[in-house]
Amino acid sequence: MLYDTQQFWTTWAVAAITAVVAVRFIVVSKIKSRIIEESIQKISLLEQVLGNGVALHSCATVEDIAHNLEGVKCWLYDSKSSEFVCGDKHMDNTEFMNLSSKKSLKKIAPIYLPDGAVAGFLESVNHPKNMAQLAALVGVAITSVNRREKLLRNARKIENIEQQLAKTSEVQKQFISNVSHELRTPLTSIKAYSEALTTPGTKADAQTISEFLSIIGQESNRLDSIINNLLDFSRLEREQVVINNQITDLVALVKGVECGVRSEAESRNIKLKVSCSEDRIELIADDDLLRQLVRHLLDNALKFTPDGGEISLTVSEGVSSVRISVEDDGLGVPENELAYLFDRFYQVDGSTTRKHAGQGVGLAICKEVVGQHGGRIWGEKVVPSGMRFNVVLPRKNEVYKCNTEIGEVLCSNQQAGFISDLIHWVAELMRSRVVSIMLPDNDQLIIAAAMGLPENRVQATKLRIGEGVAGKAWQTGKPILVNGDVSGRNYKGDTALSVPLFHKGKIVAVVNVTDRIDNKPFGKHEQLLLESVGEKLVHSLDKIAKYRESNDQLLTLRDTMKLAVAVRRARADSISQECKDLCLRTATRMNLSEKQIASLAMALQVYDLGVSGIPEPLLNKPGALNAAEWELIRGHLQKSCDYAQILGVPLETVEVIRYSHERYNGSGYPEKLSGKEIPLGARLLAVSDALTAMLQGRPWKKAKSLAGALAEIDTHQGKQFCPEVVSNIHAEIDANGLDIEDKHSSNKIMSR
Amino acid sequence: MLRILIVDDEPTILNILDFSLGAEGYEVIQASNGAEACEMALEKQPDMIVMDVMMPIMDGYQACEKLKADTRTEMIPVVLLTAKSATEDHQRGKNAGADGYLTKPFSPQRLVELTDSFLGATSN
Repeated sequence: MLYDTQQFWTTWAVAAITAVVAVRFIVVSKIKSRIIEESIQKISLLEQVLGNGVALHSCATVEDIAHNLEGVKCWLYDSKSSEFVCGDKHMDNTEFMNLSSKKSLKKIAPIYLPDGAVAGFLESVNHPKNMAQLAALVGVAITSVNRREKLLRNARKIENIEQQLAKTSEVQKQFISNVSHELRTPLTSIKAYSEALTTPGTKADAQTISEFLSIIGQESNRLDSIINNLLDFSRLEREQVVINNQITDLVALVKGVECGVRSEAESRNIKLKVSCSEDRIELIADDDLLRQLVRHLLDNALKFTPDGGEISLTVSEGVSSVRISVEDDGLGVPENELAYLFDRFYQVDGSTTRKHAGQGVGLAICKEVVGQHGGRIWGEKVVPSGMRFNVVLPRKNEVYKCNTEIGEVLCSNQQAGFISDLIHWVAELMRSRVVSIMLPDNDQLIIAAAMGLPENRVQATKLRIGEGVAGKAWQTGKPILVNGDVSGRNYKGDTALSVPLFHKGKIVAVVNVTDRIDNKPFGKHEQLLLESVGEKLVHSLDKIAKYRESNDQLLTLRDTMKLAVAVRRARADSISQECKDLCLRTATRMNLSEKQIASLAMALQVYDLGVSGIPEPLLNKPGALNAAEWELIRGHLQKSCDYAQILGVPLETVEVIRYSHERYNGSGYPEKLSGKEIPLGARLLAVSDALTAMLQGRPWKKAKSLAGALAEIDTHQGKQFCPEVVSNIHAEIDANGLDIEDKHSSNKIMSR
Repeated sequence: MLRILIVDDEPTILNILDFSLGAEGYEVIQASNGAEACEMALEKQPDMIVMDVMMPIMDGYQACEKLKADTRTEMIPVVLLTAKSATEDHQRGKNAGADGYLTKPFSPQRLVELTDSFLGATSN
């Protein structure tokens, strides 16, 4: 029994041990196989990661890295749009939060850069396991790509600096050579003549002696003026000049400078034509510096004009700017040198012109002076020969009381400078020297911002509701147009227009304009135009103010308004107001509705904004254009429409602009509309644009007389122009005439 | 009478050259640029040419090269009047075949001496 028992135990024990061993074996082998499996997995992962690493390491851009990853989507953070981007897909923050809060959290892994910033994240498609390692790897790869890019950028910067330095030293070398030549020429004369006089035994009679002495005097003056120019320039360039801004009358200034050069011009039989208004043209500027500017422009023209040639100096005023143009009929400058004209001491090379170019300091001084006044200067070739230098200077006579509590719409944007742009834009649009915006302040109207009014008047003006023109406009909520002497107050040109601005049916501001640049009275058209603009502008401002992320839109609107002003400034004398008047009068004659006339009036103001995108040389190119150039010219139409839309003009206006280049017989662009399919406003605009171009002349075509221009329009009716419009334009001119002045001859830039 | 062609685009310089050389008894003829100088040298066969370097239409170096390349004018000594005193400019003048140079500002007396020595040398 004992044996049995013993055997039992033995048997049991053996069985148990066997079982245990067996179990252990099974467990161990399972563990072993798992370890092996894991090892294999790790190796494959390692292989994959290493493979990726190798692939990623050779990537040149962050986009390449994203592209090279397999089984995952790589979303990269774009700080500009505050979105994650993967290829052409975008994901904003909300979507990302949704994705990361779901169960799918495991499916994504953030990509960290060494500084802890998140560059983006990986989203798994079919390999959820090694996400974190892969993300770390992508982070490293992105860092290395970024570093490489930074290095490249720096290398490029250094290269640029090197090039600039080389250019600077080249320019300086040239300068020294030029200056030494310029200085030595008068010095040579002085030395030679004085030595000739003092050499013993010189057989010079009294007349010769006095002639030699006067030459010595002249050459000393020349030396003096060269040295003064050099000093002026170096002072200006180092900005050591204190700009002494004051009210300056450009007409008197130009006439004074002209007197100074007249004797030289006469001695060389050069005709010096000056055309400017009889009235004062005022601007805020440093008159000493402006005098220098005009002097250098004239000196430059004198240098280049051959004896017996002609120089014309034109001063014209725009609403918020003045323009000075000096044209000579000398040799002109090669096209590729135009850009360098104002560089310090640049001179047009080549022995034919070298002698004339001086030490190249005059135009550099001009550029500095213009720059100090916030203006623009450029040179252009004129056909058939010669150069024209144009200077446009802003008048800078605005006053703002920006800290005032202002109307809810206008101030809700809190954009400093916005009102300034608004004022400029209204001024350009209405062609008025004086513009003010009035806002309510405790039952009174005060001027919030104004252009063309003295500061003390802006500060002092307070109108009770119902008082004065603006007060009445506020009280009645209706635009008020005044021509003639108003309640003892003399408006310049005796014309004033006050238009209330509404927001949600509530009056928020009054815009006043007076003093038209052509000294004509405001009419119904101007009133309609200002009303339509005011309404649209407040509306778009309001719309923008409602959206949180509206800043960009607001900036776009501002930029477009600025652009409108800039285009008008640069082309201060290029708009034919007479042709626009004719166009609107014809529209009235053809019984267009008030609304249609207002949209046409608006279109006439903004239809050529897109021209700003066309390079100036192309605009002024004489002769035929190639296909690519035409493409550019045509592109301006779409741009004009885009700008007009941003400005919030009515849809009808955009239509008028869009179809203004269609032709009656269907051969125009962009949609090849024909006949009555083309909006009537667009047909009118087409004729008046062509009429303006023909009356003014273009670089590629000489100006025509009124009769000649009308005859040419007649030959194109039925083809390019609508016969009905043409006959009505004839009728309107026959009935009321077309007021064209001599200024048409001096204009060059307009749309093709 | 020995004939000297003077070439400069500055009338004041031409004037003083004319005066100084004329006073020494030379016959002086004038041209105002390199191209004119070449034509006149062919036509009037001067005994010597005194020429500025920086001139419109054709500069002094070019004119000098042209004169020295033509058998009808190659024997005429050319003195360049240059505002440039750098050696490279003198080298350029030499390469163009110039026989001498004077740097501006020059002394009329020195020019007369130089002219005398050149013409004395050729007459020997």
